[in-house]
Amino acid sequence: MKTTTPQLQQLGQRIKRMFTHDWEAKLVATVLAFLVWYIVKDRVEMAQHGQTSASRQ
Amino acid sequence: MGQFIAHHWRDAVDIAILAALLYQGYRFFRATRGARILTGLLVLLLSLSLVSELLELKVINWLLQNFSVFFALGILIIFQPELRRVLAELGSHRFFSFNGTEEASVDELIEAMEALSHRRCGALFALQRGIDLKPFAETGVSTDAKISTELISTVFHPKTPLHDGGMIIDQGRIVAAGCVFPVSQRELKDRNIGLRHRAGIGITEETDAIALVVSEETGALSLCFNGKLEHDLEADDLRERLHEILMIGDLPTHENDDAPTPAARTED
Repeated sequence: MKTTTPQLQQLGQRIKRMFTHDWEAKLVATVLAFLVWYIVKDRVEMAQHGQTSASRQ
Repeated sequence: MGQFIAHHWRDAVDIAILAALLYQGYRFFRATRGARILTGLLVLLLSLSLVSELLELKVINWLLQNFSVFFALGILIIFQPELRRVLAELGSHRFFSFNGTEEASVDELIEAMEALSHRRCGALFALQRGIDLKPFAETGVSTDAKISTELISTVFHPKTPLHDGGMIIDQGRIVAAGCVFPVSQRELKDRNIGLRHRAGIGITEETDAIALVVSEETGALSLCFNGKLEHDLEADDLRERLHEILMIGDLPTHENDDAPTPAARTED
């Protein structure tokens, strides 16, 4: 399919909008996601370490 | 730097996916009637978890862990309509797609709406996009006709049998008229919004369609999209918004997520 300039412009607008539209909520979501990831990752690692040490014993 | 990226790119993808899920969840729930319930539940659960962690309350901790399944079930039941909409949107595959509704038919439609507005005839249209509106079309009378101002004016004339329902438009053709649309149960700031507008909001809550409403009482033109109502638009603004949505896909330049209607008026 041939990509025309207006289609590229629309794509550009969409990408720009992805970052600029409702940016406050997106920022809060990112911070929350980081916190959730940090907590869960910690627990997963702890659980993995526990399993490893248990299997060694 | 390169080593850091090589080690942590998976973490970044993890966080990006989580952030996208959280943001989409927030977007879907913030304007719904369940938003307050969800906020209340979250605040209660978070504070209970925090207190039980800090004070090492074993019983509360145990209860929270063992009853989490019931909480999840409760959330599924409370947010059943919203979840249905999310799944319907996911299945519609309308990302980066362009609608087939021709420009000429949009102009014809707006012309018809202006004519109806001048004569104070109420009207409700649903423009089909990715999600099939067939279930709603089946509640009305199948027409399969080309859009024309005369036909639309005739259908919505108050003395005709089909005037009281909604008209479904797809690819520049009138698919059906006299259709019954789901009425939005959402709490609206303006309690005077009538059933026709609520039906317009309702169909856009359950599908990705665009609803257009002509008020019988005031002749005001409105557009509903993604469960949001943009009220009392000028014909040119309406045309511009329609093109924006049909071409760019998403969203309002004058978005008003919490208050679906900016103007307070008594409708239909």
